Formats: sequence, C-alpha cells, structure tokens
Amino acid sequence: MTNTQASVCLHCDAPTTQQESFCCAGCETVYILLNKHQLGHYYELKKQSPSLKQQEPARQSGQQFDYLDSDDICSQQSSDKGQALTLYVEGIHCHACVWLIEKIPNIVSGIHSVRVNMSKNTIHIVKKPEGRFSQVARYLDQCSYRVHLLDQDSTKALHEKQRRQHLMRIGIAAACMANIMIFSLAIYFGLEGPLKTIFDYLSALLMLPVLFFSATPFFKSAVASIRSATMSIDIPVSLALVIGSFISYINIFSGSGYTYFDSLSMFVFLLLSVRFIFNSSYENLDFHSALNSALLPVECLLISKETEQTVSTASLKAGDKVLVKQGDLIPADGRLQQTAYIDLQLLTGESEPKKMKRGDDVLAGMRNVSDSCVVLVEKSGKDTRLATLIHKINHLEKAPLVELADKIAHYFLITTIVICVGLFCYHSIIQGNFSRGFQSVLALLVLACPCALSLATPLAYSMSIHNALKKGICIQSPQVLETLKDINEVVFDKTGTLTKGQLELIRLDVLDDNEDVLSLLYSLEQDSKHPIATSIRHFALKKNPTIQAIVFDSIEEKVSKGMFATLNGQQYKLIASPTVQDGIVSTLDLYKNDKIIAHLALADSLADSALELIQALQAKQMHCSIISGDKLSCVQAVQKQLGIKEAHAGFSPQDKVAYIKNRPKALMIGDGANDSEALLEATVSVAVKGSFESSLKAADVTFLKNELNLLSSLFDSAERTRRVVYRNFAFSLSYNSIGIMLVLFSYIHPLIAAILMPLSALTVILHSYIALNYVRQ
Amino acid sequence: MKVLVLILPLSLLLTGSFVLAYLWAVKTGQFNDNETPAVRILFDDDDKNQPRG
Repeated sequence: MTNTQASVCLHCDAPTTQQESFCCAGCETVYILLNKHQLGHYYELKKQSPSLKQQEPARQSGQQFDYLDSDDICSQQSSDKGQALTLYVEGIHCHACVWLIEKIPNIVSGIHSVRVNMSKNTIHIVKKPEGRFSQVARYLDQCSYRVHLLDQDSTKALHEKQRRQHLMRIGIAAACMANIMIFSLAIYFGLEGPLKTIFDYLSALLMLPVLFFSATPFFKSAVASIRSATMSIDIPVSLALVIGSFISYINIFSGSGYTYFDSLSMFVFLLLSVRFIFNSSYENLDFHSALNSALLPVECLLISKETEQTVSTASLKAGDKVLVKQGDLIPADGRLQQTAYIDLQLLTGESEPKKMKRGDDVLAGMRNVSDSCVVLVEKSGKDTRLATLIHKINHLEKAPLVELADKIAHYFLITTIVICVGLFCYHSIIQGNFSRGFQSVLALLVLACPCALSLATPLAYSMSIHNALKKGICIQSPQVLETLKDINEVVFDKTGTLTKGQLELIRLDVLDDNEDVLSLLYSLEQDSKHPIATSIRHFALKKNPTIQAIVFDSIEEKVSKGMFATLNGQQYKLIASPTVQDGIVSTLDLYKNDKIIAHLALADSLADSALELIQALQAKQMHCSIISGDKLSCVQAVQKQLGIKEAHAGFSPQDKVAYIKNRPKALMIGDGANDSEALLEATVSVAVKGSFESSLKAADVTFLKNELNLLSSLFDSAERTRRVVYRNFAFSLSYNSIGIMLVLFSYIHPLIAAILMPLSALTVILHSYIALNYVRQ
Repeated sequence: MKVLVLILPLSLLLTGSFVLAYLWAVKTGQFNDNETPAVRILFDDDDKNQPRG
C-alpha cells in the first residue's frame, strides 16, 4: 500500500476517495484553469494564509452574465480610466483569493484593473473601452466565485458620505486637541506674561473648528431630542461644551480666570472616536441587506420563437416562457408547462422533491430537480411571493429592547441636570458668586457625563460582535448578547439544521450475493436527475471509484415510480419499497424479474456536531426540542439519535410561529424562508447556513460556517460580554456618583474633572478590550 | 524665547498641512477598506516583467 493516508482535494482540501485528486469535477475545472494561466501560485498562497471562511467545493453556475454588458449597467459608474462596475462576490475566503481576483487583468483582455474589498466582499472593475464586464464575471464564475449585481441604493452612498464626514470630524478634533494641549501644558507649568496671552488666544482660535465643525453632531442631536422632549446623552454633552466655551471665551477677553479649551476639545475627540468605532462594527453587517435580490438567479433562459436567449431575471414579464434547467431555481412565479420534480426546500423545508403536473403553480425560489422544464411566467420581480416575503421581513422591525445602560443613563442625565440647576442657584443666588457657580456646573456636567456608562457598554458589545464574526457568527443586534442569559430552551428546526438537508444512502442490504448490485444500481441511476439517483451514484463511487456502468438493452425512468431496465432478457427495476421503516425518509427495492435482490435505505444524515451540541446544551440544563414540517418518522429518528426529549412533526410555518410565540425564553435555530416568520417571533433566533439572505434578515444571529457547534461558543461569548458590561457598569456608576459627591460637598476644579472624565472612559474601554480579547476563560 | 516667534507659526503650518493631507486621504477613499491593502502588500510582484495577456 503506497497511499494509506486519506487524500484531500487539490483545490478545496475536502477529503476525497483515495485515488482521486479532486473531490468533484468543479474543483478539477478550476485547478486546470488556474494552471493554464500560470496561476498555480494561488495554492501556495492559500497554504500560507489563514482561512477566513469555510471553503466549499468548487461549483460553477455557468451563467453567461451578458446583461453586464448592457448600456445602462456600463454607464452607471465611470472614472477617468474607463467605465467601472462594482460587483458583490461570494466565496472570497482567504488572502489567496484577493491575489487571484486581482490577477484578472492579466487573463481577461480589455480590463484595466480589478480591486477587491475584503471587508465588504465587493470587487471594483475598471475596463478599457474594448473590455467586457461579462468576461470578468464568467471568469470568476469558472473559478467558482458567485457573482451578484449589487442593488443600486442611494442610501448606501449617503452612508458612505456620512462615514467620511465623521472621519474628518475626528481628524480635525484630534489635530486641534493636540495643539491646544501643547499650549495648555506650558501654561500649567507656569507660563506667564505676554506669551501666555498669545497661547490663550491661539487655543481659543483652535477651539473654533472643534466647536463649529467637529462637535456639530452633538448639538444637532441635542436640539432634536429637546424638540421631541426626550432625554439623550447629547444634551449634557452640548451643555458642557456651550457653557465651557462660553466661560472660557469670556475669561480670555477679560484676561482673568481659567480656560477649558483643552478639556473640551479632548472631550469632543474621545466621544467622536468611540462613536466611530461603535458605528463601523455594524457597517459591514448592513451591507448584506443589499443582497436580497441575489437569492434568485440573476439570469434565466427566455424562450422566444424556438430560440433560447439569456436575459436578466428582472426583465421577465407575465406571459414569457422560461426554460429552467435541471438543478436551477425557478426565477418567477408561474405555471408549469410539463410534469417535473420540484424541490420546495427553500420555501417549505420539505426534504423530498414533489412531483408537479402541467398547469400546476410554481413559485420563484423552487428548484427544478428533474429534466429541463418550461415555466410560463405570471408574476416576476417584486411581485413574486418570495420577493414579498423578503420585503415583509425587511420591513418588520424587531421590537427594540431598551438597553439597561440607556435606561440608567437616562435617569442619570435628568438627575444631573436637576442637580446642576440647583447647584448654580445655590452658588450664584444664595452665595452671590457667579463664577464659582459656573465652575461647579461645568465640573459637574463634565464629571457626571455618563460617558463611560453609555459608550463603553456598546463598545463591549461591538467588540464581542467583531470577535464572534471572526469565528463565523454574525450577530445582528447587540441585545442578543443580553437576552441570551434568560434563555433556558433551545428549539431546533430539523431539516438543514440538525440534519444536513441532503438525502444520503445510509444502508444497502444485498439479498443475492451472485449479483453485482453496486454496478447495477450505478448503471440504473446513471442518467437520472432525481436527487435519490445522485446519492446512489455517490454511494457507488465511494465504494468503488473505478466502477463501470453496464450498458442496458433498454432503460426507462418512469416519473414517480422508478427505474426500469432490461439486460439480456432479464428485467431489472428499482422502485419504492412498500414497507415503511422507522425514521428512514425513503426505502427502495431493487428487483430482478420480480425478485428483490437488494434493499436500499436513504435518509437525511445528522449534521456533524449535532450530538456534541445537544449534549453540551443539556449539560447546561437547557431544554431542547425539535419542530419540523417533516414526517413524524423522520423527526422521531433524529430525536432518538440525539436524545432530545421533545419533538413535534408536521408543523406548518404557522404552527411554528404559534409554538415559538408561547415560549418567551426559547432560542430558535433554523434556516430557510419557511422558518423566517418563526425566527422573527423567537426571543433569540439563530439562522444556520449563511447563503439564504432572508434568514439573515429574520434572525438575530447567523452562522456563516456550517458548524452547529458555534451555538455553544455564542452562549460563552454572551456570558463573557455580560460580565464585562456589568463590571463596566459598576465602575462607571460608582465613578459618576463619587464625582457628583465631590462637586456637591467640596470644590472641584473643572480641569480635574476634565482629566478624570476621559480617564474613566479610557479605563472602561481598556478593561473591555483586555477582558474580551486577551483573557481566556 | 524669541525663537518661538518662528516656531509657533511653523508648527501651526505643519499641523495645517497634516490636516489637509488627512482630509485628502479621507476624501479619496483611503479609509474605505482597512483589510485588503494589508493583505495585498504581501503578494510578490513576480509577474511584473511578464507581458500582459
């Protein structure tokens, strides 16, 4: 034996059978293509770079992308170098991909440059006049990247503009703050005389851009919340800024008293920076929503006057006839023109394809698993049921849980302002000392600003969210991290969650040893498009990679019955078995002249880490249950294997919604559009399989890797984050209360307050950072 | 201390030029993608001399 080690696919590292270099034809195609263009360096790079996402075996869609060359797309963006286009590309999983994609100008002629943006998963193509975007897209498709056209959304451009403006505000505030600090430092060390006056005036000058450019968002937001009669942290921030600058400018012009420009500019800079960090951690997540349209194929085959033509799905109209090839998604709602097997998994979650007749209604998002079929379009684009479902999910706002930090900060702020007014009245009216009154109020406003409280909490959340994203957990609302502590029940969907969602041949009983059953099965199913046939072929190839197909004298596939063939006068048939076994999705019998020679059992096998996860959850005293739309026998089989106590079968989407509604402490984990409404109802919802974008929108958490075990690490990271947040709470609350006491009962200078304030925020930020990134539990 | 008369405007000028450079960088989108450039720099330009196909 020379090769006893399990070999892996040369392209995607998936395990293969021993003699094979590739796990599938797709990977082989990519490997040959890359080597043809001398791009084999890709594999060396891939070995060196850490994988950011799970790589899947290569799969080419074979789309033509002709619509990318249409005039309205080509003229959307242009630069001085030529026309440009931004595409969303799925499947960029490591650094080598960046290298490979940016090499495109060497391979596709007429392309000026291609730049990858890894954080957004987009590529930006600039072409020369003779170049074609479709060629780039086809090349990417051949390399098994999935290419989508982005929604042209004006809010995205606005968002980008705001981000840039925010960066500018921070930069200006930082530059001014640093220079003011230098001037103030000299004054603190005892600078006197005319130089002090010059320094004071320079500081006053540098404060102007901070006040009138950098700090404007605080003022705007403060005005807005006063108008709507709500409390926001921006009110005391603005008050401190206005009062502080006012006193400082008066003191400068009168030539006596203190200035607070240093503390105020630092205040603005720190607040802006923390907000920026917080905002950016959400930006990349929002970007996925642009992909809703990417669920459906972007192009389809239109049949017009006996010819087939590739058109964009968006251009389909009622009355058009489209050809849906085997394995393709139906692009629009319509009527089937011939009998076909349709896979409804995307819409209903059923694991077995359904046979549909001519004239039956089919919906966009269903998958054709039989031979090519023709669909007469009735509704397309935004009118399809899938599109309306996605629309509904996108516009169903989840009830926002008021965060504890916000609540506390709210009362805190009201108290602060009341105390401020009292303090000012006491000093100025009763004691007649106006400047003392101003100073105390400023010290209080700066010191009592619940900055640490209201900003470090979101910061801890956003850090956790960022760390989770690196592991492949995409958390879409920070409240989840807080809500998870109340969860004591986990509700699983079956198909595609606890199971892999694909039929697999799990048992083959050969009843007649004289027959070469494996070859017979392989040959019978060789040309069939039915999913069962695919799994049988896989099974046969796995057992014997060099299997040869027998050529039958005649072979026929009878829809919804099975395969029938004759060889040398012997009749063979492979049909559904009349005996139904427990927990098996399908049983088949292979007959030779009416005598059963083999018995086959097919089932949807369990997801890899399902058992570990359930055991881990049950060890934590979590109640686990299954709800599924599938048959009782299938559900019970899974239940038995995993040792789950409660299971419900035959649930419609509405049943699931009703079930989950009554369980306020349940976490629901599922996938697909059929679960999306139930996911929305759940207190915490987790969607597995990142490919389905509407789950992404419906669920609080999405797993980007197909690993169920991520649920455990989600619970762990939530627990850790909560601890950090509570410690932050305790620290900042005690800090703020002690600060107020100091101001109330003794004299505290605004400068000391201004030094303490950023220090407290910094402590909390550092604590969050260290506790979440470096401390292992 | 008379040197301050020279140094002060110079330092402010320097600050001003850095701020301008920063604003230019923001406007031209240098901060749009903080991930890919760090990766891109690692690739060898081994095919610089090869003709573009």
